[in-house]
Amino acid sequence: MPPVPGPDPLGMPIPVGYLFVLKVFGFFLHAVFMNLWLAGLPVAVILARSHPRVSDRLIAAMPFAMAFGINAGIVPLLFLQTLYPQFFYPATILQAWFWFLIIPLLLIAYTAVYAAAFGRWRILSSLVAVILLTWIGFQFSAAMALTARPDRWPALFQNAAPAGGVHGWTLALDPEALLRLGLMAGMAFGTVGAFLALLAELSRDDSRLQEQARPLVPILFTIGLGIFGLAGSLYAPTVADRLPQILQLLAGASMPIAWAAAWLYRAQPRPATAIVLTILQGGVLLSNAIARQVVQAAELGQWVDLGKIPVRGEWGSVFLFLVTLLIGIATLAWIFKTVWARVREVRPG
Amino acid sequence: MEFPVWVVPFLTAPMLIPLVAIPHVIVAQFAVGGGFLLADGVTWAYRHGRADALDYLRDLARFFVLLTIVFGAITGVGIWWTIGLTAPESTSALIHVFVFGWATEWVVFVIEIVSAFAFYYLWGRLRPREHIAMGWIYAASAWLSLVLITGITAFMLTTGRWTPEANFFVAFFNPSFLPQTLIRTGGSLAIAALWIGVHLSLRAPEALRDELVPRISRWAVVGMLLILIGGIGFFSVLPDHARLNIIRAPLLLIMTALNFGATLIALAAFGLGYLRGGRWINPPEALLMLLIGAVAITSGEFLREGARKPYRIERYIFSPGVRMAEAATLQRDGLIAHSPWLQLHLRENLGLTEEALRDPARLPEPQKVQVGEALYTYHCSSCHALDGYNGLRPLIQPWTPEMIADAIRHLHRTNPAMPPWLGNESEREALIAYLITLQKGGP
Repeated sequence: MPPVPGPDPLGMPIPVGYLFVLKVFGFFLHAVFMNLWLAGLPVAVILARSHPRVSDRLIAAMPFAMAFGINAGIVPLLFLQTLYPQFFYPATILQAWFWFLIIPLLLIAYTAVYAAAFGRWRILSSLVAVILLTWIGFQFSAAMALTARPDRWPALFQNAAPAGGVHGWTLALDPEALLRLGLMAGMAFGTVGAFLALLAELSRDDSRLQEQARPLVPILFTIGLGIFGLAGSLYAPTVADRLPQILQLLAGASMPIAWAAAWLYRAQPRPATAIVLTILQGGVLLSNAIARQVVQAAELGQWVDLGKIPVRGEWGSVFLFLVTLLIGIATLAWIFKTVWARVREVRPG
Repeated sequence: MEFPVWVVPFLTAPMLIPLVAIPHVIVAQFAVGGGFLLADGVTWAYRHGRADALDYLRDLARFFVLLTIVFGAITGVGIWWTIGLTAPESTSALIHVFVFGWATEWVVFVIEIVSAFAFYYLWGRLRPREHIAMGWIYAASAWLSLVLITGITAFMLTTGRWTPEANFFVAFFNPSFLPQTLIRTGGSLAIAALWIGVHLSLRAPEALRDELVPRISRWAVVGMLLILIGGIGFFSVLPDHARLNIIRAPLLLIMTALNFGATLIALAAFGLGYLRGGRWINPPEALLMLLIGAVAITSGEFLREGARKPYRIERYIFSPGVRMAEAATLQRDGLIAHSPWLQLHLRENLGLTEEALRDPARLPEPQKVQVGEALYTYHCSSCHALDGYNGLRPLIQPWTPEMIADAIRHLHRTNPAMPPWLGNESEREALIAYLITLQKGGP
């Protein structure tokens, strides 16, 4: 029996169903931006000579993707720690130094992304960021895989326990982590493809971008589908018993559907087809985020029954959050409206 | 005690928190105070048609956005990261009490980032009124972020009327919330003035410096006033154990003196800046003043953290990660009985039986010492490294074995910063046996 700690005695702040919804929403939001850097940066490096306009636009977008991706990443981690602290903390403590090192590595990667965006050693800086961010992605996958597998904890602990403590230099090198990273990387190429399609169609006066981006979109989706298909075909059988068939179908088929839409966009490159493609790619991310959540809940359901944990009913703080969210959305709407108006006003010909 | 313990030699794992948190606070407070100063500067420059000031402020905004968005944001997440690794019980408790406070802070943080990007990247494209509004939206959201986080950190020091049954608002509006909000708001205005002082000394023309320094000094003097009012409030609501810690611990006394000294020097500099303008400011002086401001923040943070002992969350969780409500059970059943990871180590790595775990004092000496060493890891190592920070080995060298035994028996009576012994009598004997071996230069 693995040493799984008990649930937090303070209980759940609100019923777990709401927490799951918020966690999935946060993960979806994080994945959108994180996909942009995970595949966008290598694509920008590779295409620097052959498609310089695409490469420039991708590199210029990276500081924003990083800022919002890191920010959105707070949400799923917050609700993961609310729902499953007794699994998440041991999994990260067992790999403590590697988990801790994410912070300095992210700092270097983020600085490199800015350096590239400001035109300092663009390719070298981007390359440094690619390597570090891919490693961080793997580290995340490893931590999340271990979170859901308490049965693996004792062996890792016994090899890393000076006087009963953990030295923190153990890395859970799990093939599952690689497959999960592969799935994410596959989706990431699709997200970059959809982003480029949207960018090209919104930048109607940037003919160079349109010329370079439009043919790339289906190619990126094809690469993404290849990686997604390969990782998925190896990963899906391992979780098939924990994932309802309808979700298997949705998560698995969403990517080929988006891939088909990418070819449709190639045939008819217009704002409407770019928007359809973006919505379908959003569906890929959302269906996979839901599937991931269902699998995690089933895996951890062997060790804890969340339904038995008392609920505190923190509705007052939920109200505070919702009111702030509404005010925030209104403020953001005004900011985006203003930004949109000014950007269009002074766009160079 | 239900989680594994991460052992960081020499430093102790929790000491990684200030390594991340202090640089973060120095930058994050700049992010808050700098928002007000930038918004005020832009408002003034537009109203007076000062193109030269706007050019300079654009340069400052670039430095500001880069530093605060990159370094501030990542180290902020880094603190959360580190506390989860070093104090999982407390992090879980904070999250379960404040999850929607954090979610609210996230919303505010999104507005902060979006408005900061719009403010800088659309410089020269936004109309003056829009640009000014963007600056003030940023300043307001950054300050709200400070307020929300202060409610959570202040709770750790003063839980006030909160009990596990009480709600979010009782925890949030705890006794030191308002004083700490005033201190942090004031501190952010002051440190922002010092950061901008450095930037002004390096990048602004002399005439503009002369105009801007009194302007930022005025904000900083207001900040110092807030620190003073908040400081008085803070010391008046400190729990008795925290006051006693500050008086008794030499390190905390030094930090208090440093805090007061650095704050006074900064106040004098701001007064001078307000009265005499900024022509005289040069980069070395400005950097020195920033360093003094950083010392004030560092000592203040150290003081707040150090005063909290023996709790991680006042009257709820002791520093070894044991909830106060569980102390009596642990003292009756033993620490080992309620620490699954410790049990795993003792059973699988040391090959001890269930019976031996129940009464380690009866084990042969070498095994008893090994159990004692593991108990040190779980009970003591979060505050005491063996040889480095708060080192246990050097601490007990001059003690006799009787003194060691006596100190462990009356931990919380000999020092208000220490928790009570959180195991049973037999485990205490095992820990004492281990500590005595340290005196002999052992393991």
